[in-house]
Amino acid sequence: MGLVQVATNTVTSAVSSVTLTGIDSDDVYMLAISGGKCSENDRYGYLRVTESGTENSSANYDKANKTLKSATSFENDSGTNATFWDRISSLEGEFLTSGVTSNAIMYLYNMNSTTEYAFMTHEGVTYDTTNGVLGAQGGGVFTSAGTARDGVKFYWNSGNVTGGTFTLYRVV
Amino acid sequence: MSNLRLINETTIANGTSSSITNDLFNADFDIYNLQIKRTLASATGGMSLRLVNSSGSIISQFFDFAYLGLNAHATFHEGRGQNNSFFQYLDWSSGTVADQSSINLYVFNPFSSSSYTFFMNQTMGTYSPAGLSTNGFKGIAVAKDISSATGIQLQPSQGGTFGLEIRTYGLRVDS
Repeated sequence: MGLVQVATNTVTSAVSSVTLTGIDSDDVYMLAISGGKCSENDRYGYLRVTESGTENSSANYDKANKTLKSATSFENDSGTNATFWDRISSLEGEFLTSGVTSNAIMYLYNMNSTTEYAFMTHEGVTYDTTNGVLGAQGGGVFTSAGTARDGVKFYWNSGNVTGGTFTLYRVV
Repeated sequence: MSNLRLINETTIANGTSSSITNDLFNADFDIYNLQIKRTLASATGGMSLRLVNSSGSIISQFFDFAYLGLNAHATFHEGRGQNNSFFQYLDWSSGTVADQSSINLYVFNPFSSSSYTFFMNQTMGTYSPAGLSTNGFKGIAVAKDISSATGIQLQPSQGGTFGLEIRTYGLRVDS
């Protein structure tokens, strides 16, 4: 497997979101997040697809995850017709603690298609004192077609993105 | 040129009780992918990992870990540990020669002196007492301090010896 970098953004000052675009082929794409930080504690990472650089906020995001936790029982999480995918790189990350970050590897499928739904698989990991190390493993489907998706927008359910490197690769 | 860069290839001979593989992590990468193939384990137990610094010394730190065990011979099961001195259960062996495993391990920010080190692994192996049935793990872990690490130490959790092949890749980010 090889990876060709498509876009990257290293956050060094607070921003409300990170958008990465440049998906323009039928290849599989990989989103890597390292060192993600939020301005608030206990926040969830959200993701939307973009079309011509603009986020799609329609209620077409389905998901299914198994969340692993070191301090408490694992959790099944699923849903349909949301306006975003959640648990991306973090759920409940304790970001105001020094050293705590969110991290993830995600694969994106059919993004460039105008006839097929877009699929994603993801694994994430972060930490908080209540749950210990925790992270969602699963994926989702964007249940709408008709327009090619050219990227993704990452943001938190509250607060700003205050750190992290977000990189989009094409898998070759 | 691929942004997935091969950093190191190491073979640890069968019969080793503990190994340190250093010069894996550096300032050039934040995310690493380790492809680990265990070729032998002489005792029942799982592979355990710790981090080492640039002097080759094991870093004393606490790990939290959690895994979902995916077994063909038994019910799927949850496993976890808190404030452990090792990242445990990267795999599991019955201790028979036939058992082998392959581990796909991501490591985030090990070289950083401002971030904890986070891990994600997916493992598949064999379990001889159940007819070489599949024995898998999906896991996560964190080393809960901000020490800068440059390598890993591996050893079986319950003694004995092992053999390994490790390929380490870095995910290059071009600014």
